[in-house]
Amino acid sequence: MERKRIMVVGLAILLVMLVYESRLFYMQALNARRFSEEFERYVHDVEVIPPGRGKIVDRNGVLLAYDERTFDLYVILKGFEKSPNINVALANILGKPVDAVDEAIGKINEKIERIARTRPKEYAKMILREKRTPYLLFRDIGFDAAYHIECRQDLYPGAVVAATFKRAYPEGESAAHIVGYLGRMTEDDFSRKWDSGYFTSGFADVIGEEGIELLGRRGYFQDELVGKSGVELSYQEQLRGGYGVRINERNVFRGLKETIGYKPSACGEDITLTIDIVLQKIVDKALAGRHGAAVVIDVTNGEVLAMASAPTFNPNLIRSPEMSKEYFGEGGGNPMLNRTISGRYQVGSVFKIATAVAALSDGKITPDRKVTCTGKYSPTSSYFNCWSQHGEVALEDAIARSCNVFFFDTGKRAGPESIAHWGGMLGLGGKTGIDLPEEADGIMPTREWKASHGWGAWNDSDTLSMAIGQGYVTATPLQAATMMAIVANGGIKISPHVVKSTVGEMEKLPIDANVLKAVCKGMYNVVHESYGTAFSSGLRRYGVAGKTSTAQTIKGKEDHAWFAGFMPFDKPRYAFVMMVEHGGHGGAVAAPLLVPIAEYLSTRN
Amino acid sequence: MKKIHLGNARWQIIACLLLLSTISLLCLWGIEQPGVNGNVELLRLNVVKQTIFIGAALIALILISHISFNQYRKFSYALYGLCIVAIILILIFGKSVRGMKGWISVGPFTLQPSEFMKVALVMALARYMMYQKNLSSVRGLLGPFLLSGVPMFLVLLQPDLGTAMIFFPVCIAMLYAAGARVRHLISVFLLSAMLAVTAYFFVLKDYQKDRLIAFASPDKVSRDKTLQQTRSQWAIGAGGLTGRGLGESLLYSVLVPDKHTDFIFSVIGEEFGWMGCTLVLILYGIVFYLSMKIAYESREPYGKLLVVGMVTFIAAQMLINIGMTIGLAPITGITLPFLSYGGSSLLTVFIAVAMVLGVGRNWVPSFASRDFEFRTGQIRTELGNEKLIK
Repeated sequence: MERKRIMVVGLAILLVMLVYESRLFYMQALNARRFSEEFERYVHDVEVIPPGRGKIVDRNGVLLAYDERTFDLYVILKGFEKSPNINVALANILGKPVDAVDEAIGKINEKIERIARTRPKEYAKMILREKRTPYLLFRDIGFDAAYHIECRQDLYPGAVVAATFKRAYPEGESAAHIVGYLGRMTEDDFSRKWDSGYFTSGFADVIGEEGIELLGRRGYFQDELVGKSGVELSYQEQLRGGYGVRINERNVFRGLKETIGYKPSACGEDITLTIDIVLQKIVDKALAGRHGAAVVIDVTNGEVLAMASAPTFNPNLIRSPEMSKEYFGEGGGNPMLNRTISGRYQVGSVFKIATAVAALSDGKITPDRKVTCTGKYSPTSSYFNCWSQHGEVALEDAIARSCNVFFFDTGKRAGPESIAHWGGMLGLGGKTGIDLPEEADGIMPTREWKASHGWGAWNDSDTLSMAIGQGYVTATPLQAATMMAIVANGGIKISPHVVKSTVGEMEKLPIDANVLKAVCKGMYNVVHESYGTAFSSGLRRYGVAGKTSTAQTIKGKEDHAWFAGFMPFDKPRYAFVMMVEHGGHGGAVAAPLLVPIAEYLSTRN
Repeated sequence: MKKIHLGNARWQIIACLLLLSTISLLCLWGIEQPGVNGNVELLRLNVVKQTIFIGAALIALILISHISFNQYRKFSYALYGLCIVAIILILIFGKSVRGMKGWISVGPFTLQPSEFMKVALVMALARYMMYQKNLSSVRGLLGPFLLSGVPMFLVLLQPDLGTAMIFFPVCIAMLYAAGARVRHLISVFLLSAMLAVTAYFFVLKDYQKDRLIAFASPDKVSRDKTLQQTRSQWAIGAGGLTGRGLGESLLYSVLVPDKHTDFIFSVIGEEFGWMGCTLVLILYGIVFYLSMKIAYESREPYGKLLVVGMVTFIAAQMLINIGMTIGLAPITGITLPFLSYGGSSLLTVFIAVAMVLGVGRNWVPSFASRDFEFRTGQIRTELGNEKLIK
């Protein structure tokens, strides 16, 4: 029947329409989210904008660290793999061995493989997608190579040049320990920071959680360089700033991209150091070729004007493998260590200042009390000797001549608790709290301290050793300088710092002015009297007062040579310490090194 | 002036057409918002042009629906012949546009004879089959297949696989409605399918296959087309239940060339969501239902077959196009009736609907006691209809 046949034709059409309708329902009602994600991922492209890292300048505005514009080479594997010999071509233009290029490509492939394995179901799709994503191949390829690659895209398919920043340290080795250097994060560090949203703060509003996840899978931020030492590390957060992000909608139709979401990057703050780079270079030069440390502090406010540790390193080269070998290999003398704050040294006679302050303050001695030095403290002991026979000496002379016997006696009278108490007040035995990483404390031994280390009960010989800064006593050069500053500025506690904007706490300590006056006179005599231990060092032209130290170390090695002091004597402004590891005699080795420094300080306004 | 009388010509059908046209204009407006770099006029031009097309097509629709099909029935073969000649002429002299020879310029517009070929074929088939007694024999099928085979071959030469694909279901549906045996139709269908498959896998060499594929899918950028299909599905899915809203489509940025023609349904899906898509399908459904009802109620064989043919061609085109955008049909370059931008295709489908309306209007009162039936040896109403209708 023909009418039925017309119905059948109509029903057939209806049937197909119903199939379509259910397909539409499946796509738009049940799976809209999945389709939507897929679509938006395709339509939108996310661009991460790196923040410029803040500059570091010295107190007079001389650049110590800044971001230099450089070119990084990225590679899109999809395009790269099209051309069989591109690795050779790239190696050629970059001036690298072919193996290096192959190795870097291999690493990227591994990374993609790893990403793809996180979603086994979509393995092939993920691989394909990641191969369309640019990955970092080499940093800092130089302008010529960048220009060439960018202009001849036909020769280098898949190679993409991106303008970016490289940290540059124009002063090189000078102040390297203070400024520090950058390096890659560890994996743990990265994942901890990633989880806490450190890199992507504020991104969620622009690209959503899924966008952030995508960035994570693509391995963004993993190449970020962070401060590894010095101010770069301790002021990392201020210097770093925050990433920006932009989400663009592809717009082939209109021939341009439309930004639909944008969070600008926040530039890092600039940081001004208290360092005077001219002085710093003088100090560096004084220490050149030796192992040692030196520091100059402004006694009125705790600003560190110079801080040198030798041997030093060049932060511009720190990331190249050749240099790393030199710095980290054997026999390099550990140049990365900032000896000024991280080195714990036997202090020796410089510590006698603390002993003197303790005994005077507690009234155990008076400045006039005399002790007779016969070269030996006790006729029965063969250890506690003086380096000469000084005869009858009072405090000022004892400091000037660095008489051990006088301080054995004084220390015994004061007792270890008193020395520890007053020594601690002067900044010894504990961290100064300087705004640099990896500061070490020192050791200010007490009865409890000794017992807690299981070294038995405290006895008299411990007290005697302590009184002249030997035995268990250790300190960093910075602690010694802090003590000098407090003695010089009339008993005001200072907090040493290297960044100008950091306001160091100042606190008047309960130390009697007369006590300090007596000690200072003794230190003046060290340099200015013919019998002083640093008389022939040449420092007396600049009104320097100070104390030498020839600290015994382990057997068979030379003593550490110290000179700690301040200047000018009449109106103290600078405190300084010069320490040469295993250098020998303090007055003969350390003090003369300070001459050019004192000369500069005397002319500095 | 005679009052415009639609009679059984179903004002509902025209309402549906107007609604679909409105959706089409909204979409075109939405995807062609003023650009930033100065091609504003050019973009909006599409909307203006399409409005003119719709107006012209509507006038054509009303005019043609007033012509009795008896008037043009006589010209069925002539029109068919004319279209064939036009296509051949274009194949020889026409200029290639995006790899296809299918257009002729008429003033500011370009015409596509293969579009009108569809209407002409339906008319010719209806004319051929209306009194055929031997459709139930295999030999009787030869004529219709020849009639549809020739334009199919010619259109494939253009090459335009999409349009060629429309002819086949139209022919089958009309044969079925005209009374051909189902088993014959199934055999023919299976035979041609087997022939095609065998030829593809065993006879053709690889390079020939490549040529065939290139031949069958005219665009040199066929890979891009596949991408378009994928993105079209994303966009439709992303529309969700209610869509992004008018003019919010992101598709324009990734589907550059065909968003306003072949892939307009993707834009509808993205901007108006599932509700919009369903509305479009319902409107099509109403048009088809009312048209089929006209065929069902008509007692005149030519008119009946004409309606079945027209509905099948519009439906096939619609199903192939939407199927392509939602990933259920292969990619071919055919337009979506009533919705895609383009004058020729719009005019063609409006003419097709006009003829359906004409049949509805001019239904012939039957003088037979029983229905007209196509059965061998059982011709009952061969009383010279032409005289009666006059």
